[in-house]
Amino acid sequence: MAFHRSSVGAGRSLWRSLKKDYILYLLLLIPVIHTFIFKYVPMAGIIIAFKDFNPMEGIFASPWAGVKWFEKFLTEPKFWQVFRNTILLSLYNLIWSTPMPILFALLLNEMNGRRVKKAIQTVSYLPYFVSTVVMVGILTQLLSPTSGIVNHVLGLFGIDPIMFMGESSWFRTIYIGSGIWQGTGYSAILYFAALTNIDQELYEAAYIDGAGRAARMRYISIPGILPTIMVMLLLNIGNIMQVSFEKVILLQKPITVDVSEVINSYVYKRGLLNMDYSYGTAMGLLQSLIGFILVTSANAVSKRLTETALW
Amino acid sequence: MKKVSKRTTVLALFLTASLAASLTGCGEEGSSVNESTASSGSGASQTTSSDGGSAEVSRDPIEYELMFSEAASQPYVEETWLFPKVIEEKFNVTLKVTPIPSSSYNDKVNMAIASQSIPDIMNSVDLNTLNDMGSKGMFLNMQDYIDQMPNAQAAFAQRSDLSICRISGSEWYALPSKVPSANLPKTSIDFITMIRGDILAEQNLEVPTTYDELYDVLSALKEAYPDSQPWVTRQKNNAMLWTLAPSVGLSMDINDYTMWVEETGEFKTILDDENFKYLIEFMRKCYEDGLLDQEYAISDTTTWEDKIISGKGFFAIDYFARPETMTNAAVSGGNTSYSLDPMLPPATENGEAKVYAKNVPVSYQGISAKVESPERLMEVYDWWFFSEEGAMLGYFGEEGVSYTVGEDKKVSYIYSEDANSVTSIASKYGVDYYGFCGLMPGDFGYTIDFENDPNMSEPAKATYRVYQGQTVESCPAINYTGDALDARKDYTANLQTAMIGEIDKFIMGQRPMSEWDAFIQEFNDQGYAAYIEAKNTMI
Repeated sequence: MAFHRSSVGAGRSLWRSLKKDYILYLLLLIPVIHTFIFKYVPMAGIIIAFKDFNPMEGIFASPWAGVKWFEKFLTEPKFWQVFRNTILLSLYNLIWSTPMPILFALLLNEMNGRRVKKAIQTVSYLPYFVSTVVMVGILTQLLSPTSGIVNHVLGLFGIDPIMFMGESSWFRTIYIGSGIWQGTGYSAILYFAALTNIDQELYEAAYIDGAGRAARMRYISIPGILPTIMVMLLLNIGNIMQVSFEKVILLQKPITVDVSEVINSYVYKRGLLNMDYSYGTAMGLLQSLIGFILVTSANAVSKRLTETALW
Repeated sequence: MKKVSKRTTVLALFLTASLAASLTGCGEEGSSVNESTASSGSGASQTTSSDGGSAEVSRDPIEYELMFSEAASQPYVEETWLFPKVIEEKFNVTLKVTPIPSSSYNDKVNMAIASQSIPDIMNSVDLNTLNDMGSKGMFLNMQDYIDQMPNAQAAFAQRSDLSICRISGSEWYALPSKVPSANLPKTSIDFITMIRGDILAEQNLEVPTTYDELYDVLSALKEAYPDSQPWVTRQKNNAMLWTLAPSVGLSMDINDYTMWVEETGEFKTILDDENFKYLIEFMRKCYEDGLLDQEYAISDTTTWEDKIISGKGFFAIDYFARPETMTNAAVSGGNTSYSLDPMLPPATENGEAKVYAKNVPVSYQGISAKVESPERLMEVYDWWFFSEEGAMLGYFGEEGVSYTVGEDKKVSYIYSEDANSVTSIASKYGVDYYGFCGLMPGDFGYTIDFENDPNMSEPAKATYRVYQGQTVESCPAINYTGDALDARKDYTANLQTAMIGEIDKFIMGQRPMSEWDAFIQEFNDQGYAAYIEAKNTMI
């Protein structure tokens, strides 16, 4: 009976809260409806992955195909190539792109001179607003073996021109390097915010105790932003299978397709260009499933080790 | 599709009835279309039987949505494009044209198909898609209306290559656009070889006729201009190899590195052919010696244009119209002596200095199965895509406006201030555009009077002179259906780009030629051999 009473009490309390802050709840309704309509309703389309989808018959009337498309993808010679490429590209991206904004924020935080600091911060996140198409165009110009400035500089040191955009071995470096250039400043904003929340007295006390910059960074700054780092890491792990499709397609050349074909680009070619809708959906679903498993596992590990988790 | 309001329809009917009463004995407008076709036709093939369906077709105003892939170089200009105006006047049919940028057109088409929201007419749709979705009921089976399409009937009877548009005798979903015609080489030839004639003259070099000569000429140009890379291209290796294949005696399919073997009547891989390997090794040698653009595998149109115009490159393989357009661009940029001249491909003793004659239309159109009054649209397309008048409208425009016809059906362009070249005429009037012309005027005996054209550049005239009649037959075109279509899709998604990339690696020296056989085996293991087998079932 106690349970009954407490649930009734909770119901009343919720109702009171709704009545009191109804404006806030109404505001909350907007993102909830948005999420429902644009994130949950389209999920019904997943059913295509288990059907022989025929546009003329529609999603629900098309005949069932069971797990035929999953089997086809998993047994295709191309599967391991695109799976490996996706994992490697994501993993390298995670390894290199996650610490860069942290490092940048920590270093900038140590700088004196407010104006210079602000100027650097502003300049650093400008590349984020450059569109991927423009960014790839700039890369192509910069890295050209005949007219690019990079090869020109390398030439001054006696190094032969390198075909950066036309050699498989350079694809991942270019993809990740350009990502760092474009995203570091923007991603660092969160860490800047976290750093400003650290109590300045801690720094002052450490300074009086004789701690140098490196020690202050190690014992105050990093622990202070650790929860932010963990949350960001978990979110990045959740996106590990979501390699930037647009950038891959733009950077991809036939000569680098062996390392640049990832699940996203393959889904686009197979599903949309080849009009194998069911096959494309099955591949996409499989990819999301792997991402879901990864983020759940990472969340559990993080919860156990650092007591910081997404849920 | 939107039909006009009832009030307008009633008004139109009233006016039509009044007009009909005052013109008793003049016959119905529907029959005048057929008479017009018959009277302007060059032969019996274009005449219409008196009991043709078009005579019974309604004359109410009607509007159809037409979605097309808009080329950046030829944007839609509502005020000056001719075909919508002519078709409206002739058939009382309004084509509501919706341009979609060509860069995102395929995505749009596929999304429209997936969501069952296709417009009445959809231009530039892949043939296999049209057949596949057509047989599932999405596109109109035009075969049901063939009895009302006398011009189409005649075209199918005369040109066996048009059978590519049909799945069988009872299914026809693909309207052929820009059907190649030998009388107009620009429509029947894709890629050609071209070289800077002014630079050759400056260096006292002859136009090369063999591969050894080509190598020597490229080397001499490299020596004279050390910063250049004489052979520049924006095409992928399959397009270049396809252009050169007749010169070593091969009948290559540009899409999949297969070749047609006349003796067996089948396709086989071209990769293990010694003559093909000769071409690969030639390109590899050129690349190694800095004669072939070091960036050719990643080059795009802008980069290539810059190189060929600015003198960083001298030899190229590209489309038939390129000698003209590049020369015009360079001359208008101030280099008045610039001349990118057409040349026949160099040849070995095994082949001929010729290029393939195209045997498939440039693109295909589909009509929605849900289109209102399909017989109206079929009447329009029968005239527009298959009659002599329609062919002239699609390719040249309107007589007296964009062209005149002289003796022996020689056509001259009418230039104006804002349309002073063949290209700008095409842009202004919306002519010579895939999707907006079917049969070519060449099929009705028309040719271009290029020798007397005051605005055509010398390289453009030379292209007609050099390539007129210099073609060999292409390998048979295949219409994929069923399992073969599935195999084709697998090949396209999994192997096509990868094969181009691996061949680039051999040309660029990233893989040794000793691995060539292993490369073929790798792809056979991934399904290439099985794909060729499936392809052969469709012959």
